[in-house]
Amino acid sequence: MDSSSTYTEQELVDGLRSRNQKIFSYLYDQYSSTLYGVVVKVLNDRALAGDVLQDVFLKIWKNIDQYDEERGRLFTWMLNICRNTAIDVLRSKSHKLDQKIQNITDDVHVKNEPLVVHMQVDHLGFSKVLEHLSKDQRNLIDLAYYKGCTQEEIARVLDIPLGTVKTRMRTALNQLKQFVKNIDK
Amino acid sequence: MDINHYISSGVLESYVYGLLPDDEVAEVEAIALQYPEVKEIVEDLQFQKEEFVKCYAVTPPPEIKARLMLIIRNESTPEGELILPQELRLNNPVPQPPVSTPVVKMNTANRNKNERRWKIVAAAAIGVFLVSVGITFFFASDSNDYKARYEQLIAAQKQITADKELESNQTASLQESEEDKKLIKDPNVIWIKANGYGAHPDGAVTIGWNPASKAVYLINWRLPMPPEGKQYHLRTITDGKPADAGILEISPSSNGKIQHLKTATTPQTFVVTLEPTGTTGAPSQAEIYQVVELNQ
Repeated sequence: MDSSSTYTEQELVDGLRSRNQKIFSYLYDQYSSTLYGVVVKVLNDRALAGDVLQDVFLKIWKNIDQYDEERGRLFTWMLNICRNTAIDVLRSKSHKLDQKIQNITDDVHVKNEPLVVHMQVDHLGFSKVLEHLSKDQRNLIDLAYYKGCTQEEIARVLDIPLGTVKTRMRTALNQLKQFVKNIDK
Repeated sequence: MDINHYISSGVLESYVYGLLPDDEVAEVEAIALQYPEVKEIVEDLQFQKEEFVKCYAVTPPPEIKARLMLIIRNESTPEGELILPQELRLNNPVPQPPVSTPVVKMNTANRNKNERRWKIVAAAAIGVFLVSVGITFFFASDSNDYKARYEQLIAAQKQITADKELESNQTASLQESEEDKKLIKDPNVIWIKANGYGAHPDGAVTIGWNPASKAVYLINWRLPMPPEGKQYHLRTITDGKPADAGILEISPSSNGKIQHLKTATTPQTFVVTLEPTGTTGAPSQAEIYQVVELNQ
């Protein structure tokens, strides 16, 4: 939750559960750009991403009763819905690994150019951190999170042994964490 | 279980970033419940991931929110349910025919009658089933175009907004013409139709002057559009000396409406001239179009 929010997490959850449209509108204003960013990055298709974002927010609105505070924060839940919905659409769009890889290589080109095109100003600090990761490390995170690739697919695409995919993931994220800590200091 | 070894295997990172197959996901979730340190690491990683995805935030097009709010406002109506994607319809949008299953009292004494009742129940149930199958097919095909329906709704909404704007513009111009009417009826204002001059023999404007307030008005009826680089001026002439009274606005929307020009204390003659744009001082290359003599 942003510290600037005028609602607590509990108020948001309660508001959604009591079908409060104002709360929904607030939730959309707060989180739509982050969620849209995820969908756009997964699908590489802004027109389609708009429809998917709409479905994501409708799922949040309709399925709020399935949200369980015990299992995590609201935003974590929302983000999971968002990522999974987008990945489902991506999978239904392209079953072939080749097409997924094509999307990734397209992404790599975009990322080699100014990485900050889509970045929000308040996250420039974090995006600087991303630049400290190697290209392979960034691709690893993108393939897993944004393209929904399996460990086998990643091992094949990045040409690394299957047994090392998880540990490489850990190394990349640890590195990310260290840089973030340095920024915060 | 060596929990440290488990943590350092990278399985938690892989879990948070969606890399694990379902069986391993269940395993991580079970272990997180059992080991608070695992749960804490998972939460940290989730938080970090959320910061990560915020880097790629993109503002969505505004119509998505408008569409969503429209759907949500109408969700309790059958129409609202219909525009939802199929899997999100929680309530059956179709008001089902009342299921008139008769309550059958067990009556062992009259077995035949009982059987007949069950037959009726079965027939009724089959009937209800067939009707609901029919309705389902009807709405299933109907729901396929829910996107088109959103767009129609949005288009309708835009049309309404546009209509409202048009209406308010019209109201504004009506108010304007109300003021014009007052001025034309104002007994203090002298209104004189101008005469043509030279090569432009037709009277094309009406000029008004209020001797009390010194205000000058002009209504253009049919002056031709000025050629590029030229504009119409109104000038007053007093004792042979010309003075600037302002530049005329010539456009289809301003025709027939009162234009307010610069005040004039003791004008004897008004002339409308066509002059090169930017002329400020005495007219040197003025072509006279209209003349009004005030014979007070």
